[in-house]
Amino acid sequence: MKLLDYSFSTTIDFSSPVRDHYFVLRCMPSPSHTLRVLASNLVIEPEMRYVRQTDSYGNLMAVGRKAEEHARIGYHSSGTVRIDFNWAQPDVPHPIFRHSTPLTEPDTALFAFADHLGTVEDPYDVNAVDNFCLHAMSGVHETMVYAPGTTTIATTAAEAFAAGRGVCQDFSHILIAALRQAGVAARYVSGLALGEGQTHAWVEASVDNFWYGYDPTRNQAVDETYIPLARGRDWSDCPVERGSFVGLVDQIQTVHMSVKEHVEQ
Amino acid sequence: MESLVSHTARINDQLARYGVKFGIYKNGVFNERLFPFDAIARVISADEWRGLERGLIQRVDALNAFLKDVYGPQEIIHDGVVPEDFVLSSPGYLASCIGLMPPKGIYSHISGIDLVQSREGEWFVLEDNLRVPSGASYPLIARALCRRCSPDTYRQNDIVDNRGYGSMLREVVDNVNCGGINVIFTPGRYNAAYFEHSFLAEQTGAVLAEAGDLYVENEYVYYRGFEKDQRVGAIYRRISDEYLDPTTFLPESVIGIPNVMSAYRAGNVAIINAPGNGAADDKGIYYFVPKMVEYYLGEKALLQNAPTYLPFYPDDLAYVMDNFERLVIKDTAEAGGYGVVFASNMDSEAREELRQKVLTNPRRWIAQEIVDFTELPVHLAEGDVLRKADLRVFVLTGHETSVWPSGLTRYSREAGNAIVNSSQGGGFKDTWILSH
Repeated sequence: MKLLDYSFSTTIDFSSPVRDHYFVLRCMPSPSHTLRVLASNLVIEPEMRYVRQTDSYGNLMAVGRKAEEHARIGYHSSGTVRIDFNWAQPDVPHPIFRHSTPLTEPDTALFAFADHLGTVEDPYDVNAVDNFCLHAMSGVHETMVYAPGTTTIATTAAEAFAAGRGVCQDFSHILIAALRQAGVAARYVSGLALGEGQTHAWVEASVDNFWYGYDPTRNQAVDETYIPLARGRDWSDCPVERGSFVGLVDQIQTVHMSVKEHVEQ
Repeated sequence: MESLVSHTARINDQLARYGVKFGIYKNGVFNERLFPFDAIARVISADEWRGLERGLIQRVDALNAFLKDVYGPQEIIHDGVVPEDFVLSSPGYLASCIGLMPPKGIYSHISGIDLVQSREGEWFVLEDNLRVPSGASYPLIARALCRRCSPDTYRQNDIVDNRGYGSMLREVVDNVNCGGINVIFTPGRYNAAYFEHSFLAEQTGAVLAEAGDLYVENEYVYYRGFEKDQRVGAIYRRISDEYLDPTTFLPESVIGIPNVMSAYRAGNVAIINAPGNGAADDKGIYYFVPKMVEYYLGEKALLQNAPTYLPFYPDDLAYVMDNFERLVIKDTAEAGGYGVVFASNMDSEAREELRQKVLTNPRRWIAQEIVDFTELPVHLAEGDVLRKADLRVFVLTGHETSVWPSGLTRYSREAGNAIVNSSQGGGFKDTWILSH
């Protein structure tokens, strides 16, 4: 069991004012069997009305609108969560997590890579599936070079794999492609992790109907120091912010985040 | 009918004056084109119509049950009737709609079912259109003009009145309205069916709205009125799912309603037809519709599909490869008469290329036997000619499912051509249903 304090802010500065700004944020931890939200606070500046909703994946969203002109928007999400893997419950994966998406569709090279990883010996044996996922995770980690700035949010798994470099999003897409190829249901997770200075991404795979986390960027199994914010088939289901506004502008985005172990006061 | 036919030119002039057009994009340029009307109506006997009606109601009820199932428990997949892959890899299957139940559980409120009749008189369903089927306004307005030109035609023949479409549609929209006004939401005047959008707004007493006229706040949709803003309870939207909400679907859409999905998710507005219906009118899913009727309703399907093969199944693939040159090959990723080819019309090089495509990605294609469908007379100044024609029937689901006793008969421009879609340059006819 871990108690974690998190703090996560995003500020977007527009080069000139925008109006009729609608947004959907996925920047709050969503409660699950293993994650209990003890405190959660979301401040949006300038002040805007918003409602909390849950999407089809169970992700908590803040949905709102600012009609008046503004040149900056800031979201500050903070709180405390309690994560305990002993509370894990079985969860039959939706079959959608077995199908590829435009961002995770393998090409010939990625097919070959997935093939080379081998197969799950016994899909009903927890250890066999877990070992395969760990093996695939290390495979991705060893093949890829971590190189920020070389890819974008639109880079596909196949493109990043061909370039041999990328960031946590690309590593995760490649691992998802490989796992789905082996018949393992896999989903993308965006979130925060202890010791990371930026939002992070990793993969969850369905192991005997339990979701196990794998972090191909750090080459480690996900433990209780990871805070999921959103889950989906790939990155496009989990953006921290989606917006639509009127205005032809440049945007500069600044992100600050921290995760610390909670200390009782 | 002769007196009516003599007015063909006048009726077409009137249609042009009323702006009965459809727009078409070709090579990136928007052109509005008149939709030629032929006054020789297609006539369907009362008996024949009763049979069609029963089959259509059954089919649409099954399609609605299928949509509810695939966005919910997916029993039809678990029971092995429809392969998972056909549902989940369909571009029309929207993950954002999983677990969302539309008001009253209705997904397809307005279904446009395309039928053809073989020379032997048998009817076949060619396509189900469950997203934004258009075309009802054309026979509606053409009939009104014909009645004015030749009132006797409608006194002497026992033709079922088709003027009820507006009130049928209104009942369908009111049935799912979540509180507030009804709007018809159009992408604007550069849309192929803009004429129809404004006509239907008039017919149903709904407000015609474009992007910017509606906004979403705190899970409710509002219409910006002159005096005060009004809550919207139902949106009959005439834009496709991708463009509906830029914060859920295509972010670059400027013709949608941002955050409308949040109001829909909260159950505060009905969207007609429901987002996600593309999962059921995919060219690949079509193959399974008669099986759906049996699965959900426990009845034999009354309406048959054109004989269809799914190369996805090895036996069908073998058949398709052996009989390639006499089949129609359809690309499940395309709509509206695009991506439909008669292999017999291709040169051998193009045909071989297509055959390879089907072999490498069988899931993407379906193949059909060519139904040699009936030709109907079309009146031209130099004399009547015969053209292939299909029939789009509108099936409406409100408190219950019913069929509008009329329909859009489309005929092809050239002799022998079997592609009748308006986007491919054909014309249309009225469809008379006889009352006995």
